[in-house]
Amino acid sequence: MSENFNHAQIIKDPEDNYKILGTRPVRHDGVDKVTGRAVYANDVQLQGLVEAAILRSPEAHARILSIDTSEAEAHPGVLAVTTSADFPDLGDKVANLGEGPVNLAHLAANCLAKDKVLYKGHAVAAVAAQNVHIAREALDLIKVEYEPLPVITDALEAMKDGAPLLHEGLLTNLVPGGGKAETPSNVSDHHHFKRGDTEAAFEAAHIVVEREFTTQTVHQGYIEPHAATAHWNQDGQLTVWASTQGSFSAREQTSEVLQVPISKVKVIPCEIGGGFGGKIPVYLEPVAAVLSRKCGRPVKIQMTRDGVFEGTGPTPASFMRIKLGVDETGKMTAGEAWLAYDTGAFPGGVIGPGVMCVFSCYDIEHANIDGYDVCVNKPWTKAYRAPGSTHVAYAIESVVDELAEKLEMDPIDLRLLNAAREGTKRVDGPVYPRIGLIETLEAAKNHDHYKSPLEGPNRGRGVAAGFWFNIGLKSAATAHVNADGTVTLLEGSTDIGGTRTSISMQLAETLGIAAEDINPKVADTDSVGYTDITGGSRVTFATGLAAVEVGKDIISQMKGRAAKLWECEAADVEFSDGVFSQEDNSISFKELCAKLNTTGGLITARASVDPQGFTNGFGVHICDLEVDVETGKVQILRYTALQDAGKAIHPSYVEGQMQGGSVQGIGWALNEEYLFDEKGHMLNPTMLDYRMPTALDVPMIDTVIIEVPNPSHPFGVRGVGETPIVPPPGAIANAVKNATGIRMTDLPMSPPRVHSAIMENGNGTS
Amino acid sequence: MGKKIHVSTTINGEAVEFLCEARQSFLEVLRDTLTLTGAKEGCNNGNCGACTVLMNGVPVDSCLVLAVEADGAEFETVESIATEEHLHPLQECFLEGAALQCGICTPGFLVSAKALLDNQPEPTEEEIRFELSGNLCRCTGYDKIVRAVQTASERMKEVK
Amino acid sequence: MAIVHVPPQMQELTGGLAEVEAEGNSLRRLISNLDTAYPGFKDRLIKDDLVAPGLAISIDNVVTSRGIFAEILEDSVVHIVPAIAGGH
Repeated sequence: MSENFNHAQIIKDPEDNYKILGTRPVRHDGVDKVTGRAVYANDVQLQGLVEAAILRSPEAHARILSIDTSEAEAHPGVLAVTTSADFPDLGDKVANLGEGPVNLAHLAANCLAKDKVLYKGHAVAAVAAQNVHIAREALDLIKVEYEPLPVITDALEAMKDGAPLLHEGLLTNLVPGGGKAETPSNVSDHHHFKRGDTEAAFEAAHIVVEREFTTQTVHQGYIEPHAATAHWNQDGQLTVWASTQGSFSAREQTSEVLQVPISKVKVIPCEIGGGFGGKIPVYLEPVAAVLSRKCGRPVKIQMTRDGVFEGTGPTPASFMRIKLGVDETGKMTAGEAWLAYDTGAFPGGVIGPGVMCVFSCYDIEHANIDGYDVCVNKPWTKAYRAPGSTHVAYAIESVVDELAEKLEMDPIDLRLLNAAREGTKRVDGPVYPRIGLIETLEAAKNHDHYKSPLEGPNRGRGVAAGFWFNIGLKSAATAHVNADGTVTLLEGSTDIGGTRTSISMQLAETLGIAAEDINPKVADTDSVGYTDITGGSRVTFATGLAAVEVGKDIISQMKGRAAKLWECEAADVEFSDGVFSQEDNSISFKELCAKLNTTGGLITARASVDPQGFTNGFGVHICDLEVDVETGKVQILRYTALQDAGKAIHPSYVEGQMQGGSVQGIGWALNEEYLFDEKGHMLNPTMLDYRMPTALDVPMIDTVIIEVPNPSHPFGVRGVGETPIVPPPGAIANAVKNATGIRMTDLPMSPPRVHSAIMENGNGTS
Repeated sequence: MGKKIHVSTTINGEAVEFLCEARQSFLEVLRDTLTLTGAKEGCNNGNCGACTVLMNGVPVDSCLVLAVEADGAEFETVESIATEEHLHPLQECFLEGAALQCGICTPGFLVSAKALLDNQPEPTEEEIRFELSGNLCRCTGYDKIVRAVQTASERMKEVK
Repeated sequence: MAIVHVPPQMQELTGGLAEVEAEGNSLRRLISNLDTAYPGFKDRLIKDDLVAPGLAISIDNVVTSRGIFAEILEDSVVHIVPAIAGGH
């Protein structure tokens, strides 16, 4: 074949004999997306639509003394102006919004600041007008009087006694289960785990390595800015067209912020132009809704790009101190981690997963972990692909590499010796079920990339492992069986990367029909059962499970119809490979569909699932690179990502997740960071200066999919979306060390940082 | 605001006239006035390439073209790449090779890639990466996009 | 009796014990029994009949979404862990 899309090497489970799963059909929404016809949130056109713009704070920390909107309201073409005064008073209400509790007062105050602005770019007011240009003119006419307050942007500074407080009266949550601290501070959460006797174990260790690491704030960098349109009808019915990772979550958040009944809010999910965790919280929906209520017209808001950088939730900057001890054989005996992440303006960040992920790849008997979420005057951090895990993986994988060097051991062998496996007890307590880290490490060790020599000056190879959970959560699906043998599938999971197809394929496999015979639709919140967010690597796993359950329901109902045809008991009808049979009778799925109308009508099936628990995804990456010692620029020469996918339903999209996550991780490792001045102003809120990888910056990303079936899914699916961002910074740091002799302990390893490290350490060549 | 300005232009082979304000970008008019929403706004300052269109055969960021500059020019947008009955080989290869995930950058990539293949039917990997470096994609890591363009180039050669 | 692993931040309630045993066929009963033995246990874990914000309960190595109605078996092992969802 002259055509080569270069498919991954797949290391299959020997029992695997699926017909549809593992094939590569064209995605169902594909033609719309390559012809420009797919409707994203900013493509929504409605009768009477008007546009709005957001006024953002020029101060990083200030009390709002007054807001005068009168001139803006009088500006020709302006239809409505809003501030937080139009939101209901939410007190200290905490709502459980599907994937976790949310402090509603904080959520609302992040949409429109209440009393105080807590970061530069914090939304303060909004204007709806005949067009966005008029709305922006009117923003300049809003007079806000600020009383500037001391600004603090560094987590360690914010933790010090006497640091200016962002939230007076904030008492630290002691997690898990520890109640609250007694004295107010900027620390919103302190997580602590301990087992065994680390002090004695470090004392007895053969080698101990202790290092400190920092990472900077980075953004998800989705190409589509946040956008929302709201129409508040005269009957009180609110309809929202949103770019969201979860239409039900957006509905709940909007309903809670505005204190209107959930039944009065309908969210219509549009196609979404990337999310990576950043499009779970609402920013615009409640604001557009209030403006619409005020002016009686549908209101659309699209964020500007600098609004996205400054006003939405990136992932935290971090400080990490890691200490790891091994015995003579390389067995890890003791580990200690002290972690501080900045949560940005409001409490509640991602330190929880950070503490749970730091030692999650290894079996370590004695361990002690402390992790802190700290409020600072920066945007409120939110989830970003394996939230909290990439930071700690960069730190721990660097330390493991250094231990391998000191032990004169192959770095993969050291990881294999200590790798978590079925039965390993995590430091936070639970015990792993069947997982595939060992298989993934072995595949890396046997890979041509790892075995091939790397020659030339200033070149180095690095490896790193990474871990992320897969959450379960709730999903629903409804299916209509059509007389022509096709099935219309309604589901509620925003399709960010081909999940319509990965879900449909699981239904097709269950029914023994072609993936193309399923017609999937992502339905609005009035048209399908409750479904949690697209996030946590859960959609192919959990919504896929709902589709499998729907398939079983269809088969069961259709057995009844076959029984009618054959005048037998439904229990005697068998189904396999798309064919119903009983003794000498048999009929295909398609043929039986043609007879549904005359045997009781067409069939509808539904399922709602809440799979318990989560499984685990492990990846290992290998990176070759070259450092330009004159400029400090790092060029990636070759990159291979290996991952346990459980079962790759649509391998192309599994590869795509691995490649895309790898390149996001490469960007995080090498270039991306928020730069702040001393006033807490972001200096680089554009896609030119916030430097994400372009096609020219990266090589092809080779992939190897390992299939160690997940015992808690009928097809063995594990979530794959998030793990791939976790290993790159560690793998790249280890490769830079091997190329230059210098261990880079601060991200990003950007040209200025690498260059000055080379200057300080001499012209180190490997 | 001032008076609106009359502009005569050609878009996807059709003569088009519109009225615009001096401050409006061509992207804004394309999307809001002419409802050609295939070109996307990702940054509105020429850094992401999601709004790429061909202006007199040259790929441009339509957010950086003033609508008034469209007068007398000829444009091709993503909406013109497929024929009535068939997708362009680039579109087919993007789909078969899974070269899109969220799809928001796809229109811009298709327009840039088409301009590349129109001028250089057999580009090297390096040339593809260079020519597409003005288009940002955050989902795919570019691997499958580059391969889709390579495969489309092969397919178009076979047809000739 | 089910075994409950007590995280370090809660061990002040159990006099330093890292592991305690308790009866109860649901999480609600189990915690209620623990609260009798170690007053304050329930307050730390349950708010308004829900698992407290920021926490999750792992039963036999599976984090439950059934809250206080989750089933506890005679030989279950229970861990109290941070909730994964970032942001609250």
